Amino acid sequence: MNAENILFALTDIKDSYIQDAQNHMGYGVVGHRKTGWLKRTLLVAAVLLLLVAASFTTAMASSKEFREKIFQFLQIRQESVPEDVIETPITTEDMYAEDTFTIGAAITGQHVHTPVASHARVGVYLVCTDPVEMRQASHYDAYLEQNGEFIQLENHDFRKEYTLYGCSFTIEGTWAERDGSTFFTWLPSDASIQTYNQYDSTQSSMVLVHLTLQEADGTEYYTSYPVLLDLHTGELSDVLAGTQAYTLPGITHAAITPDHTRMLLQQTTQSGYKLFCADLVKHQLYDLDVLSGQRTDACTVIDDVLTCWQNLGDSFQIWKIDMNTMERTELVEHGFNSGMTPELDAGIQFLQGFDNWNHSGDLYAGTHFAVLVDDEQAVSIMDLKNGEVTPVPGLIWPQDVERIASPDGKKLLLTKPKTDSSDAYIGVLDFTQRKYVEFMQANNGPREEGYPYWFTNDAVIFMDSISWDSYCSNYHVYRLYSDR
Amino acid sequence: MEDEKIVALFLQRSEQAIQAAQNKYERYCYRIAYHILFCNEDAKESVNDTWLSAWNGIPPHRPTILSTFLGKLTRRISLNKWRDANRQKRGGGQVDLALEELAQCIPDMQTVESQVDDRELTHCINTFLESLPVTERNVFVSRYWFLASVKEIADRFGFTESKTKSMLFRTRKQLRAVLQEEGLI
Repeated sequence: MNAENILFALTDIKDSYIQDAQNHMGYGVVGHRKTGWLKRTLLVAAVLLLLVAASFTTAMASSKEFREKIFQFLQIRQESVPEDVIETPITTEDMYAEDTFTIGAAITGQHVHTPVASHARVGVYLVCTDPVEMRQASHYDAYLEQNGEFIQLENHDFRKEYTLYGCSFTIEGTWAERDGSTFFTWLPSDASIQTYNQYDSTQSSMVLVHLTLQEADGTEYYTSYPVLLDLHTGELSDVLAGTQAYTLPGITHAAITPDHTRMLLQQTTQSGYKLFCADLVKHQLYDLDVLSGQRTDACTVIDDVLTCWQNLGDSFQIWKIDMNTMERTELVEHGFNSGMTPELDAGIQFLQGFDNWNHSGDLYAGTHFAVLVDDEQAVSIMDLKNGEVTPVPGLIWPQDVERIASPDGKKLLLTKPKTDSSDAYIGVLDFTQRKYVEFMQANNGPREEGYPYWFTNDAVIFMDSISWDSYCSNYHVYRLYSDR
Repeated sequence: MEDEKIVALFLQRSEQAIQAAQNKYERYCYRIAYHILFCNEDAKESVNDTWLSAWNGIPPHRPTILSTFLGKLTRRISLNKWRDANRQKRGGGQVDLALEELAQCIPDMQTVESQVDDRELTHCINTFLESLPVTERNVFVSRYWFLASVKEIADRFGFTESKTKSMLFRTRKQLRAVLQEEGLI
């Protein structure tokens, strides 16, 4: 044994020892240390005052029970904490879904109760029901909810060996299908295949996956190489073949058009990111910085039209290029002080942040809306196809909101979790209807919850609460009816 | 966001779990990593690896104290990273100093080949820490778990550096005795 053994073995000492030292050293967590310390100090002062005033000293000295309660109140630990890990029992017996409320005409709310180790994606609930399997986090069953009943979808095993660019690898996992859309229900965590969101689906049996390619000796020389995988047939399509994309290291994001003719690629390096567009028919790869002659901050592709967004420092520019003729047209240019500025983050998310603008992650490129915010924080929607700008009545752009586009890119969820000083904020901007619905409600809506996400194109879901005693999750699903 | 809710997000395989954990514990984990690695980029990388490790660990685990769960992950990842980077050459940081100090817990004739089960060693250290007065234990954990410098510990506890060093020296001596008693060295 050597000193290193001791240093490493120290890692797993009791949590209470770590916490005590952590408190002494002031190694608090964000947003908690100052207020927590202040509150604690005030509490201690108040309690001490109380003790002195009421002459509780005698009681403290003589009564063990009383002493323990005081210690508990002051959060003084007398015993070590329990083990840091416990197992979570799983059962599907109590799963249920019920319509519980409406908010105006456009929204109905549903309460869904599932086991705690479950999650919801693409309109289905994924539950790991086998404790043995769960220990390996390796088996999830997919359930579709219909009229309050849960219907289990067939789970397919997938395992196939491939060779690409001289590299051999195996892809394995399980997948399910809903309305013709396929999605992985499980992928091994150490697999050479990745998806940004394995539970998202396409409208076909094809899924876009990223491969880690390794030499026979284990040397990794390409990570995140995007290919299309047909889960029905097992066919792997190297759609980028011939485009030279293979020579680009560090491709971190990819988006493919629904007709599989073009793919957007984001290359991330230590100095930032660069955007590319691959023509999968002509086998051409375009560097968008070169194509535009300037830095391209964001892009999207709709049909045969590539749209790019550039931050020029004191102004912004949106331009489009016909991918057949390569003709470039300036769509709009505004100075930042012209009274109409793009909501920068939203713009980037819409045009470039594949993870964000489409919760299908890196499946499809094709949204064609951008959000503009004026000096008064009023919001307009720009249709990138024609540059048309339409104001959205009733929406003042909230500060510091998270923006998540729906899977089809036609709606934008604006959300902010509850903080010490403000309630949670949840609203939906419908691009096609040019309409905004704010459904944060005081009585029967989400009050404290944050982090909602799109369940389907027409529904937002978020966790309402956890029942640790019964190991259950309570979800709220908001179904949105834009046409009402 | 409350820890229970963050853990629930992990259990539900919601990517928002990582965001929530990062918002709350990034600074905490970074401090642990930086004390070990003494390098901004490496520390950030360790912290990023922590979220992935937590993602892979929950489920099946459900930590009851999220801060120490994440802290342990960061510490383990950072120490491994430190070990990989320093296989040939030792660099700066508190780890080297801590190792020199902890070497005093091992008799000179002890060789690296004398392997010991990590869990057995942790159990022994836990028992040892339990036997220590609270202050000594906190100083020891601050120094050898958080890898805080002697000066930082002295400042925080209101001791002189000299007193802190003496206290650590005595504690290491006691640990050595316990390890010998348990037949681990």
